[in-house]
Amino acid sequence: MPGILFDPTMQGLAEALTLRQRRHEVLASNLANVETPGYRARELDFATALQDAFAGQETDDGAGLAPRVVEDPTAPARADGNPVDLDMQMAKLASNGTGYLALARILGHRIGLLRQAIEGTR
Amino acid sequence: MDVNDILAISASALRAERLRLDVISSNLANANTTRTPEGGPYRRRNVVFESHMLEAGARSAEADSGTLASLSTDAVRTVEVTRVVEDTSPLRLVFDPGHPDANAEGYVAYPNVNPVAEMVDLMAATRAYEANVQAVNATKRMAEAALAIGA
Amino acid sequence: MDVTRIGQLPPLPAATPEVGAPKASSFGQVLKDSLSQVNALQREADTAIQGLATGATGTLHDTMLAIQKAELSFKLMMQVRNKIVEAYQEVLRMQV
Repeated sequence: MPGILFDPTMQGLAEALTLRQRRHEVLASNLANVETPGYRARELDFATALQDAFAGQETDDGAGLAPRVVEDPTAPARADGNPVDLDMQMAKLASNGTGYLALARILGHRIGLLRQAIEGTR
Repeated sequence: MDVNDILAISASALRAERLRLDVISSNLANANTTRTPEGGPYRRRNVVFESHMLEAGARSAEADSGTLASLSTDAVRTVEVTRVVEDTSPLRLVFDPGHPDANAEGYVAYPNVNPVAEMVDLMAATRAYEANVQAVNATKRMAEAALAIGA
Repeated sequence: MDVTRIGQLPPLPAATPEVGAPKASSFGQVLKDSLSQVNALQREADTAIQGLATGATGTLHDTMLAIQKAELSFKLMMQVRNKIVEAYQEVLRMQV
C-alpha cells in the first residue's frame, strides 16, 4: 500500500537532484582550478542522463546511472592552455544551483501534499 | 562526495589564491628593493598551481544513497600551491652611479617586478577567489534546500 | 416478558475483525504486505540517518527523502488502522 504514495515522478525528481549535485561537484572543481595551468574544464553528460532519470532507465548491473564526466567542448581555449572561462563557469554554477533549489522545492511540495492527503494537515 | 568534500575543493582554491595574493603583495611591496638580507636585489616570486585528486579519506562511501553512482575519483580536483619559485628573468639595470648599491659600472640592479603585470595578476587572483566564495555559498544553499525537504 | 430466558441466550459470535469472511485472507494479506513495506521503509530511513551521522552519505536529499517516505507510509498505515478499528467498533455497536 505505501507503494502507491511514491510514483515514478518522485523517483525521477530524486535522481534529477542527484544529477544536479554531481554537476555542481564538477563545476566547483572547474572554478577551483581556474588558474591551474593545463587543467581542462569538465562537464557532466547531463542532458541524456536527465532524460534517462525520468524514463526510469538503469544500467544492467543495477548500480544505477553513472553520468559521464567529459571535457567541456564548449569551453574556449586560453593562451596558457587552461580553457576554463570563469564567466561561463559562474553562469553554469548559478543556473545549476537554481535548478537544484527548484527541484528540492517541488519535491518538498509534493511530500506536503501527500501528508495533507493522509492526515488532513500539512 | 558529500557536502564536506565539495567544500574541501572550494576551500583548497581559496587557500591557493590567498597564497598567490600574498606573493603578489610581496612583489609589489618590494618592486624597488635593491638590497635584501640574502644580498642583491629582490627577485620577483611566482606561485605554481597544481591540481590534485581528493584525498582517499575524504571520499565518502555511498553504498545506499540513491541509484546514481558517484563520480569517479578522477572527476574532480583540488588545487594546491606546490612551489613558490623565483623569477629568473633579468633584473632591471638603471644607470645611477651615486646610488649606494651601484656596481662598478655605475648600474643599480632593480627587481624584475613589473607593477602593471602584478596588478593584472592581482585582479585575476581576486576574481578567482570571489568565484570560489560563490561556489561555497551555492553549496551551502543547496544543502539547506535539501534539509528543507518535507519540513 | 419472560426474564428467565436471558440465561439461555446463545453466546455472542467470536469477536474477530473478519467481518467480510470470504475475503479475509486476501485483505489480511494486503495488511501484512503493507506492514512489511512500512517496515522496510523504516529500515531504509534508519540506514540513511546512520549514513548521515557517520558522514558516509553523499546525497543529502536522498536521506531526507527516505525519512519522509518512512514517515508518510507509517502515517498512512496508522490512518488505515484507525479506520479499520472505527469500522469494527461500528459493527460492534450494531450487534445489540
